[in-house]
Amino acid sequence: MINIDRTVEGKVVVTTVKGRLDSSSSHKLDEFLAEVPGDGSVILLDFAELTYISSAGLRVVLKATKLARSSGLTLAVCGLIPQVHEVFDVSGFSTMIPIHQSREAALAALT
Amino acid sequence: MSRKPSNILYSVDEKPPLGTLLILGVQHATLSLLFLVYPLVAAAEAGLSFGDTQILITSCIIFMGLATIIECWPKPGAGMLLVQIPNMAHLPLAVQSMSAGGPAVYATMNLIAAVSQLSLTRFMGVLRAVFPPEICGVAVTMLGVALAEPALRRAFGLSHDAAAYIDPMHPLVSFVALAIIIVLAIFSRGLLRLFAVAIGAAVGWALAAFVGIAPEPADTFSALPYVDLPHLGWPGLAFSWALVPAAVLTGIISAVDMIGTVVSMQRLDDADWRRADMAQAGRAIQANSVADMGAAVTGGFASASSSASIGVAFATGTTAWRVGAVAGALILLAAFSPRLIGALTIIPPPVIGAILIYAAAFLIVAGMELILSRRLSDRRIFTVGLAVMAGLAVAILPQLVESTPHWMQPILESPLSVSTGVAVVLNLFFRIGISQIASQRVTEGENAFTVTTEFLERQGDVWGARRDVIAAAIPVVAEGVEMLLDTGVAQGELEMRARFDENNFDVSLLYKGDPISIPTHRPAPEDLLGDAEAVARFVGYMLSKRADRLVLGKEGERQVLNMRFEH
Repeated sequence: MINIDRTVEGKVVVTTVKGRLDSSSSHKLDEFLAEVPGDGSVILLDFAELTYISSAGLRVVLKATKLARSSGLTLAVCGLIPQVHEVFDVSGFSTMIPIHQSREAALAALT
Repeated sequence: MSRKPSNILYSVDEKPPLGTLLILGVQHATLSLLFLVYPLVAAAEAGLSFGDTQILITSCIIFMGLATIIECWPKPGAGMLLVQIPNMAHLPLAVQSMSAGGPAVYATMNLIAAVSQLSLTRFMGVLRAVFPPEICGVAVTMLGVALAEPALRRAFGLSHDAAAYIDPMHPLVSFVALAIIIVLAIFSRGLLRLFAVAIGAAVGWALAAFVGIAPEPADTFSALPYVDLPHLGWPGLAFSWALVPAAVLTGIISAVDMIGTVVSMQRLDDADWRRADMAQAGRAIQANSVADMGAAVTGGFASASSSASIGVAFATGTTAWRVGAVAGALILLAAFSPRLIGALTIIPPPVIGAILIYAAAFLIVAGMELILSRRLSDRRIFTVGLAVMAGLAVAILPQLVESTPHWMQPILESPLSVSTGVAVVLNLFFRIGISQIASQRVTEGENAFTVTTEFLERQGDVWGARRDVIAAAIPVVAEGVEMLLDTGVAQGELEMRARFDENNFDVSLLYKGDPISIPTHRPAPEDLLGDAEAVARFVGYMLSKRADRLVLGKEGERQVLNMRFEH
C-alpha cells in the first residue's frame, strides 16, 4: 500500500512516498520521519506518486513539520497530484508548508 | 451555463461579425441544398412529373429554411446551430407512397410521420431515462456509421452495380478535398479555418473539372431562370392503410435522428457536457414536425436537422445559433432561384463524399466519447456492443433487411434506428433488478479506502455514473469513513449507503454514536493532533468543502452524514 524511500541530494534529505497515506500506512511514515537529519539539512517529502492522503496522513506531515521546525530545519513537499493538492489547500497545509511543483524545482529552490 | 471548448471560436450564444456570419451561413446553406439529391431520387424512382418534382423540391427548400430559422432561434426553437437537410429517412416512404398513389398519398403519410414525431415530444421527460449518455453515444456513433456508405460510395464514384469499375480520379478528387478541409480545420486560424469546408469543396470541384469527372449540366439547365417566384401546390390527401406503419416508424426514426444531432451539437458546444438536454431536443423536434406538416400540405419532401452540418461546425469552430439563422434565410432565398438550385445539383459527388467522410469521422468519435463518459458495467458493455453490432448487421448485410416484410424495411434499413432501438430496449431490459440505492457495512479494522473504492466503483458501473464523479467521491467518502471509525465517533461499524438519480450521487454514512459538528471556518491544522472531537471537527470541515453538499441528520438511533456529489 505504501512505499517509502530516502535519498540525500546535497544537504536535502528527500523522502519519497508512493501509494496511499491513510490510517493503515501513516505510522510507517511517522516512524521514518521521527529520525531527524543533521543540522542544516532540509527535509523534502516527494509526494509525486502519492495517490491519496487522509487526515491520518496529514497528521503525520504536521508532526514532522513541527519536529523539523523545533530542530531548526526546513520541511517542504513537492510533486502533489491535483487530488492531494486539493487536500493540502482545503486543510490549510498549503499555507503552512512550502509546496514545490516538482522535485527538480524543489532542489533548485532549496539548495 | 456551458463552458466553451478550446477548439470553438464562436460558441452557441456568441455573435460572430457580420462577414463571418455570412461566410459560415453560405457554407451551411450550400451543403444543405446539396442534399436535394434525396427528393430528386425519390421523384425519379416514383416517376413524378416535372411539375410535381418542382413542387416537391421547392416546398422542401422553403420549409427547410423556415425550420432551420425556427430551430436555431432560442425560443420557441432550440437555440442552437441546427441546419435542415432533406430527410433521408423519408426516402423509402416517399418512393413507396408516391408510387402507390402520387403526391397526395405521400402528403398524407408525411403528415402522419410528422404527427408521430411531434407526439414523441410529449414524453421528453421519460425519454431522458430512455436515452442515457451511452445510448445517445450509440445514436451519434451510428449517425456517423450511417453516413459512411453514402460518403464512401460518392468518394469512390461507385454506383449500386456490384461489378462497377472504380475510376481513380474519383477517390483522388475526394481525398484532395478531404485533406484540404482537415488541414485547414486543424492547422489554420481565422478566415482560412472559417472557410475550411468551402475551400476544400471549391478545390475539389476545380480538380474534378480538370480531370473530367465534374457532371455536365442538363440541357434544361440554361433555360432555368435566375430568379423566379417559388411554385407550391396543394397535392390533396389520399390514404393508404398499408403505408401507415411505415409512416409512423419514419416519424420515430426522424425524432431519434434529431435527438442524435441535437446531442452531438450540445456536446460539441460544451466542454463540461454531462447529459442530454431533452427539453432542447424536444423544441427542435417540434419545430421540425411543424415544418414537415407545412411541407406535406404544400407537396414538399420532409426535412430533418443535418448531421453533416455538425461536421462543418466542427471544422469551422463555430456553433453560434445566428449562423444557422443566416443559413436558414439563405436556404429560403434559394427557393427563389431555380438556376442556383440547378447548379448545386451538379456538384461533383466525390466532393460531397469528402464532406460526408469528414462529418462521419467526427460523429463516430464523438459518439464513442459519449459512450465512454460513463462507467460501464457488463450490462452496459453488452447494451452498447450488441446495439452497434445490430446496426452494422443491417448496414453490411442488406439481404437481412430484404428478407423482412415490406412495412418493416424502412426502419430496418437504417443502421441508426436499428442500433438505437436495440440499445433502448436492452437498456430498459437490463435495468430490471437494479436498485437505485445500495449499502455496504464497514467495520473497524477494514481499510476505509479499499472498501469505499470497491463499493462506489461497483455501484458506479451498475448505475452508469460518470467516471469523474465517482473518482472525486471516493477519497472524500473514504476520509469520512476512516475518521468516523478511527476516532471512535462511530461505535465499531457504520453503514455506507449510496444513492443515484442521474442528477446527484449521494453517499450517506450511518453510524451509532455522537453527531459531529461542522465548523463554518477552517479549524487550525493543529486540531489534527487533538482529541477525537477535534479531529472529527477538522475532517467534517474538509468534507463540507470537498463534497458538493454535506448534510447532517438522524435516522432512528443512528447519525447520518450525507455527502452529495452533483452528477
